[in-house]
Amino acid sequence: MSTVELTGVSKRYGRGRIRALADVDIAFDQGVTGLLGPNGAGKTTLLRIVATSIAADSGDVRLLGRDPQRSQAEVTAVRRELGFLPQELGYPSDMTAFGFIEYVAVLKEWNDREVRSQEVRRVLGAVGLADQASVRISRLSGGQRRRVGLAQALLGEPRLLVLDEPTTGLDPAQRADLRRSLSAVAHRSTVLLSTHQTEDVAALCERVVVLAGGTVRFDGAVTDLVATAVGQVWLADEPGEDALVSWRTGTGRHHVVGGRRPVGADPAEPTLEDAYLLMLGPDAQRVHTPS
Amino acid sequence: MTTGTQGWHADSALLSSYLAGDLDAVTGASVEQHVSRCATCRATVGRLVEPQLLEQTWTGIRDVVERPALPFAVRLARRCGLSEPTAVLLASAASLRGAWLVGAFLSLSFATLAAYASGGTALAPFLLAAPLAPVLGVAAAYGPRQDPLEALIATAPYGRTRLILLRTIGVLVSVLPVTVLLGLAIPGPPWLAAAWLGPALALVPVLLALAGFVGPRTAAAVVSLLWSGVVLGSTRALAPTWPVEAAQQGVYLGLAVVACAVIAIRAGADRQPGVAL
Repeated sequence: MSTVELTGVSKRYGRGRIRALADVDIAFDQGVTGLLGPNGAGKTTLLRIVATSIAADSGDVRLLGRDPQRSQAEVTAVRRELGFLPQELGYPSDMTAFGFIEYVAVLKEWNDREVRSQEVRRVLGAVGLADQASVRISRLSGGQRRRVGLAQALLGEPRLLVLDEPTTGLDPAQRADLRRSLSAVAHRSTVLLSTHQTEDVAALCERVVVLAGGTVRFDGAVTDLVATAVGQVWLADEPGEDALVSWRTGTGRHHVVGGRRPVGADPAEPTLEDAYLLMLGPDAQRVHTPS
Repeated sequence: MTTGTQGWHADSALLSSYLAGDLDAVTGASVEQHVSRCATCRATVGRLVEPQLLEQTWTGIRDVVERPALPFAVRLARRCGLSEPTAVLLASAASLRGAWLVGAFLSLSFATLAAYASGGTALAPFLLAAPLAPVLGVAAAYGPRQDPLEALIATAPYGRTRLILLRTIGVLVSVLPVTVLLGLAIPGPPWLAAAWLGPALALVPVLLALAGFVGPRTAAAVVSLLWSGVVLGSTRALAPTWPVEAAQQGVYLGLAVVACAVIAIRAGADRQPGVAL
């Protein structure tokens, strides 16, 4: 049995007008899976269902072998082994980093004060904020706040870690730190993360799921997604006329993705971003999916 | 031991005696002064102390520095036996912090003073403020605006419903006794000091039930307006004690029962797992 199993899961918002997820069948196991997709693709909805923050309108949800729609006891049992970083997390400005994590630790039933303190220090150390423990959150930078958010998700080494856009607001060095923190937990946990950064997925995830319009467009290894773009990416002297997207690179040549091969173009090694754009086509630009 | 000499270091035996507390006061203070300025001797001290003891001491210091101080009301509750984890949860509620409690106390005091000054003929300020103080306190204790951590609370094993109920009890416990004491100062029948508890205890579940639909802020505004209407409306032609007389208490009880039923029904039907409030 997989850690996360969604069968025929659907979810609508706005009194049924906006389709967020449509009959999604997917399962997740140990390791890091990246969710890619444009805004409104259903990534956050999927993650919130897995995080027991919202319920699906229909379909079956099994988390850590339990059915959260069955009873409060099942929900609580899942939450005891869950770490969740929401997309938009408010940070109480008058709390210190330590106070914030400790508060969440109490909500996660770390009742022994001494053990709780050790755990709070451990997770702050894991995200590189051990020296900032007594600093008020209002004085931390955006990237540091995001790492405080990640630290609370790591409390108790959860079996299921759900991270909604964890790299937002982080600079390259901080993203590298975050990758290091996540790779340390990936071998023992099921990690689901959504991001707009294809390079994060390439660097962190063994598996990638591309969502668009509330449906799964691709589910497989990162290398397999990249392989779908082979033969569709070129370096050319002119922008491709019917290309999906093309831009002038620093060398003066044009990186052309999709469409017919421009005259005199040389085949280029596709990136994950190229493959993602090709997979979605015009949907890459779509924001909402009313139906 | 020679002091004031550059390059001098205390030997291990002296430092061991210092650590064991075996030195007399003057020598001990002298060694302490030296150690505080001499990196070499500090390093020696570090080697002589049990690493476990050192770690324990350092953890204790960090605990004091890093752990946020609890508000006065919560510290008081801790002394009365409140568990430490519960104290941490209560401390983060805005309406259990000093500023809010002082504000509530001052409002109630002025209302009491007005009723006292009128010789009991103008009870409206007190009857208006006393039931609304806990209502506003509860409304300020949760919700996305008051608690930016709502998204996390909703997915924590402790549970949002449990946290709201805990904070509701915290607010009631911190506000009600003071209000009862102030009520004793009002001229009039002795039962008046406690009679406002009926509407107060009814309006809180009404607020919680309503907040499930419109959020705590709007719910607090609606409940405040309704209660103000009852109290101010009664001042025109009815007795000053009318809003808290026996017949009305029955209505408040009925309201509380209906509100609790709404909360229970929503708990079963809500689309968010495990959320009743």
